[in-house]
Amino acid sequence: MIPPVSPPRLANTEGPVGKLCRDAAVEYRMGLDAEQAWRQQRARAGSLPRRFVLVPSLAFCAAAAASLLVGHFRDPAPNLGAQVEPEARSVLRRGEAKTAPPASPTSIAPKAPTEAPRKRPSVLGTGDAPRALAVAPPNTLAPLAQPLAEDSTAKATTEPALDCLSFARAGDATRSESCFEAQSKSGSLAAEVALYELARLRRDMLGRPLAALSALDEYLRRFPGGSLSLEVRFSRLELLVKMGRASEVLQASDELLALPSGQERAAEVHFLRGNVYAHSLASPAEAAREYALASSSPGRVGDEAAFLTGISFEKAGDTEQARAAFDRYLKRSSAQHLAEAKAHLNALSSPAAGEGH
Amino acid sequence: MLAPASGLTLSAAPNEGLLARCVSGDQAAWRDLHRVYYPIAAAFLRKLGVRDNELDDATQEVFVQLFRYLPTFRGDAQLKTWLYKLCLTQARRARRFRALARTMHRWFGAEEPVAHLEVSEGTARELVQRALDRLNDGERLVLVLYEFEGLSGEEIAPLAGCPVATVWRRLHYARQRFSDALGVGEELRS
Repeated sequence: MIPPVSPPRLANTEGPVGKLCRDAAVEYRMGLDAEQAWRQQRARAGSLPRRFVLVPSLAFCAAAAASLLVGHFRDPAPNLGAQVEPEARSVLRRGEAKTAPPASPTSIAPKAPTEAPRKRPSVLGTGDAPRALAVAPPNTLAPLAQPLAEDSTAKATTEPALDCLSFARAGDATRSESCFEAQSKSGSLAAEVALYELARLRRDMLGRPLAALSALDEYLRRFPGGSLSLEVRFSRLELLVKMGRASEVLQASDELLALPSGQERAAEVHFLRGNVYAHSLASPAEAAREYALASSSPGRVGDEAAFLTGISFEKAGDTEQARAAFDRYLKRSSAQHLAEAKAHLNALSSPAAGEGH
Repeated sequence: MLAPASGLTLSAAPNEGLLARCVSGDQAAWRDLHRVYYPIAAAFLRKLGVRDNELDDATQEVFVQLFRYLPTFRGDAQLKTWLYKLCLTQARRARRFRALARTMHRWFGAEEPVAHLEVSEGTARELVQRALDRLNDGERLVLVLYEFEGLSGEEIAPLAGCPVATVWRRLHYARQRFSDALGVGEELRS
């Protein structure tokens, strides 16, 4: 039987489990050096999010390792025998690489990362940050940014995947853009990541949404089923919303929702569509329909959507539906706009409101 | 589009003076804020399964987000609850990176990285961590927030993205699994 009320906390109980929990709580905080962490934080502040570094690095390493392995399997070393000196062998290998035919479908070489399972590094823009980047004040990190600039300049490496990022972190976004453009010319996972990062760089640092859109379009043209395609489609949708292209948002979101993988972010897509209908197209009834579809999501999007469903029905003059929507909203355990919803409900329930409609 | 501020209406703010100083660009205030909340964030991340070798990256990213969006933080929100949300995102991210790294290792035939806690065998933390690793994500989150972070069911529900009743149900099963893993099932059930 599941108890309906909060049970006593384990750490407050007597006995070995209570003691274990109390001891563990202390040990979880052991070894944490706030001063050292602050120094690292200062060095880090103002940088691009870590995913800007790690994901391209991983992609680059994967691409490099794959190309090495492919080279290994194509190596005709067994036929050359032990007489061939290593240097001569490498010359032969280089010569062969220039004339080598494309790998046959039955090649024993391992699959390149582009054919990898859709284990998308979903950290790319799936968290709160990417959606919020546009609203973040640009000077928020100013107090901490100075040490970073010095630090990142010093840390510029010769590794291609990291170079693109180090340019941006050192403030040379244009060079970073050129670097990503060069990387995007390949046909591997690195190119996929480069195109995605290129779009983000143009959108967030260079302030060129059209160019960002062009990078995302190129991604979808070259890698329609790529590892990051869902993320790219959603980023494109967000960009179109910011650019105020309402009809394109609706078309792109229809396409996204029609994809099996699109259901993963269906609530967010319906929420964006609701915003477009509410603000760009001034169609509150359609907005209410979209918000209602998004409201089934349990998180913050669902909460906002449930509240805006009531607001939209109210704007559309549908008092009954608005009342029902606010009623449903007030029953949500995670309702963030309780007071506002109650005020709207009271206003809608008053006789004057009833007569008015 | 959702702005960070729209989700930050949880409860009372802990220290409005400190927050106001941070927003105004006072470096000393940033440092104070970091000093207060760093141990909370780092310990919470550990309980969520972030390994010690991933902890620096995860906590730094949490504070980058915190500093970046603090000016949009509304006074009626509780900073600690927001911090928990940021930590949750980072813990998920760390887990995905770990899965990605494992996949890479499998592709290229290398040995998989060994997950280690960097704590002595048999310490309370090590025992608790092993028991927590036996829980699924939802149960683990609820158990950690309730038992170790001291949050109420009403505070946990929005963080776990479920109704309060579900929080209690998850906690019930989480405690069963947790106690079984510790080998003290009977003690907790009694």
